[in-house]
Amino acid sequence: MATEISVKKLRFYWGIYALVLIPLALVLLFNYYPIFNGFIHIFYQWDGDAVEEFTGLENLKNVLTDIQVWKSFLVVSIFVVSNLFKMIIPITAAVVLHHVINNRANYVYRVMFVIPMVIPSMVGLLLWKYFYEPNQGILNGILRSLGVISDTDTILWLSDKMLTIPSLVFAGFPYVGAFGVLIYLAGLQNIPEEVYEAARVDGASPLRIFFSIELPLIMTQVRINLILMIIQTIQGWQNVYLYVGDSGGPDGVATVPGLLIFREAFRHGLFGYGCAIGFLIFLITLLLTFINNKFVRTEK
Amino acid sequence: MKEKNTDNNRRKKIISALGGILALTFYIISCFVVAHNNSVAGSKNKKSPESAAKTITIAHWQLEDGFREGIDYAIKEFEKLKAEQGERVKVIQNAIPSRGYSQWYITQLISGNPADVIELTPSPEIQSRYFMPLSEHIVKPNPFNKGTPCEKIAWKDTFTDGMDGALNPIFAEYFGAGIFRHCQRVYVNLDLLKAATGSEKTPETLEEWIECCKKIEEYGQKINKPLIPIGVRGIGKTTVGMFFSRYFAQTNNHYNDTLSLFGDARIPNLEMFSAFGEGKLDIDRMLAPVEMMHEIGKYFSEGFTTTDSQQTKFLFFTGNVCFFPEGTWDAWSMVNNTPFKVKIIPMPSISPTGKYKNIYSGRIYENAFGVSGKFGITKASRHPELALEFLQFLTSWKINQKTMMEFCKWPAVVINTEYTGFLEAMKPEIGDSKSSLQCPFFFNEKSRMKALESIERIITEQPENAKVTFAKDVVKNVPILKDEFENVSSDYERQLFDMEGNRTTIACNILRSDLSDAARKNQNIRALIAIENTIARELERRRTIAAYNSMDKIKEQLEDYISNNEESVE
Repeated sequence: MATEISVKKLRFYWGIYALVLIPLALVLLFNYYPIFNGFIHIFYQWDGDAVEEFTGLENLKNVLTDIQVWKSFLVVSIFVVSNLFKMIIPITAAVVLHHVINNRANYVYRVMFVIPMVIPSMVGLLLWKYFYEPNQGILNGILRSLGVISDTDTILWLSDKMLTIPSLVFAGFPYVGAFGVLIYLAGLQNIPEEVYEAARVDGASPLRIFFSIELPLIMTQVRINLILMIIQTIQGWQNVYLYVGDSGGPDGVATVPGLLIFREAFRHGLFGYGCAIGFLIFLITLLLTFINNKFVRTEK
Repeated sequence: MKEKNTDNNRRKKIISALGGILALTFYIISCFVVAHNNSVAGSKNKKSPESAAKTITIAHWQLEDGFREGIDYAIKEFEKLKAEQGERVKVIQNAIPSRGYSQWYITQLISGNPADVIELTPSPEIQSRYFMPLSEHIVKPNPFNKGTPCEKIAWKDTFTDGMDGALNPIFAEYFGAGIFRHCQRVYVNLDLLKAATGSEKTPETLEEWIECCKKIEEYGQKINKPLIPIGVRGIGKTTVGMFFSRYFAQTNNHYNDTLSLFGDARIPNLEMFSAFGEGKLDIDRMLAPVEMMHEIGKYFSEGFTTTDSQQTKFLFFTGNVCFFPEGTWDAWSMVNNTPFKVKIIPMPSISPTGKYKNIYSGRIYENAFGVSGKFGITKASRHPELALEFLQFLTSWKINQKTMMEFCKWPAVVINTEYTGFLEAMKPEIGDSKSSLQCPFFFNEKSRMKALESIERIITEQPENAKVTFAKDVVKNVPILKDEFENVSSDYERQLFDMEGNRTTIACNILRSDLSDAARKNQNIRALIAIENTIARELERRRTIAAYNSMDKIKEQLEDYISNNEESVE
């Protein structure tokens, strides 16, 4: 609960408040000013440099009637739903890890989860890109060695428009992100042992314990991860860009809103239009976060 | 309990005090170090102002093999030459990774303490604000060309493109000079070619190339290996675009001779649209390159649309690709890092006697292509004359050849250069060849990307009638083209205001009484360039409007073509 600051206290702590002003000014300058500037440019035909012309609501009107924009939101919603399923794996991994009784083994497993974190995510993405390479890639290599396809056949994982989105969803398997596992594990470790004991006395099965105790008590962490995941997925475009380029793959099937902004602004010089798509992303993210906060309930 | 709390508080206070003392100590030490360094530097300068070396810095983003070594060589030679003239000069080279270059560049310029010679980025406003105009100097011979074939030629005319690419049309000024150039070539895995075809003979025509590719594919089937006849980095569509524009120009560049209103060497881009609208162009002939792409595209690497440069290079280096169309920038590493013999050849051209002989209209002129690496002299430079001399030195006949061709293995930017050994394959195509030609199916980036996507689809899906499929896509792109013309026309209007303002400023400058003769002459030249550019820009604006107005007629013609040819297929 916020407390009111008396003038006397303010006089006493003025130095601290002055220090807080520095990062605040930087946040205003580097975070809020670009957002504000982007918002203003929704109403302009802007080339990103000096040339701009006030066009009113033209950009917003164009964005709302552009079928490509709505297609890109459909694509990103596929990624959001798939990422929702991908969240199950780290939760499961965290629960299993939490139940490793031997302290030493528990420690070793935790370390093993953390070690992959030192590999930059970009390296992981590039490795997957090579896995998908049709001629020399590992995936086709495995299928060839298993006799599923002939030695000279290729499956175009990223270039076949039927396979592009499934391949992008599959990339990164088995999705046991160390960050997620550690967050859920921290939540699980906060559950008092007495709660488990009471459940066992009542004869609760491990599955019942998971659904009735563990999952409700780590919902705070799940909700945070869910919000972060939704924001990152809706705003993200780097993975798609890296895998299939700024055209969004064959026929642009994998074009997500972020990639569309990049393309319209930096490729076609339509920065005002890009800002308008950005504004739409902002509204949708805000709406989803609101829904999330309202309906995903947490136990306190 | 209370005692324990007091102890804790005391401990916290001691730790806080220690932290404060440490922070203060480091602050004092750093102040001392800065002050000391400053005084040492100052005293060095004060001690011997006459004997102190004049220092200039050159900054760029070229981290390719050999480039920095080439510049180092030029620096040593320049320092040696200046020392012989009794002047102590030191040149520092600063190579910045390309990823952060534009941020670094603008920060340096705004800071007021930038490098003296910097590789330019395209923004005309930034060039005008922070860089020295060069027009006064480019009309005089480069002093470092004495005793060379370029001795009496104006500096401007010693460049393969006559510095056309360096002109900043909005400000009627030259702010930089290019130091290297690139062209497109095909890298051939000779071992694979020999194994597949039985000979090391490389293809010269499109027809021969297709034959070679067929044999490579058959050889792959024979040895059970997915061999790639042509490795294409398709993710950015650059290679596909290059193929298409080459074939388009080779089949249609006769329009440069027949359609140019003023008898220029080439028809201006926008006039092609007007001519198209007036029904002066042969649609079937213009669509023929699509058919060629449809044919040669069968041999592109599988999944090329999402393959990037690194992946294609990897496939080439591992011996899976026979032909790799790529620019000359990576030539040296492509030849030296491969475990097999590599030959560099020009892009096989359409044969004047083959399948497309009736529509073949000539090879493409390459001499003025790809002049890049433009370096400018910053206005904030402490030694602008020296920086100018160094830039002239870098672009002099002897040094440009040495740094670019010997160290980088890149084509030099200066005329009359000698291409020997490895570099012979990079010699630009000239002779009977013609200028390239703008294709009137796309205009700016968006319509261009749409058209290239359509060509990609034609290659990957192999429809029965490639020409009609492409024509249909162009019809779909008409609204995009119209938007582009509208935007460009508005941009031109704005630029005309800027140019007019600039022209007025120059006119006012000429009236100043305190101008030297040389400066007045320079201002007069700039005034002439400004008038010429203003007129040219106004013409271009009118051409854009004419092109916009042609779009409906173009659409009608394409729709007629589609209905006539679709029926004939059915």
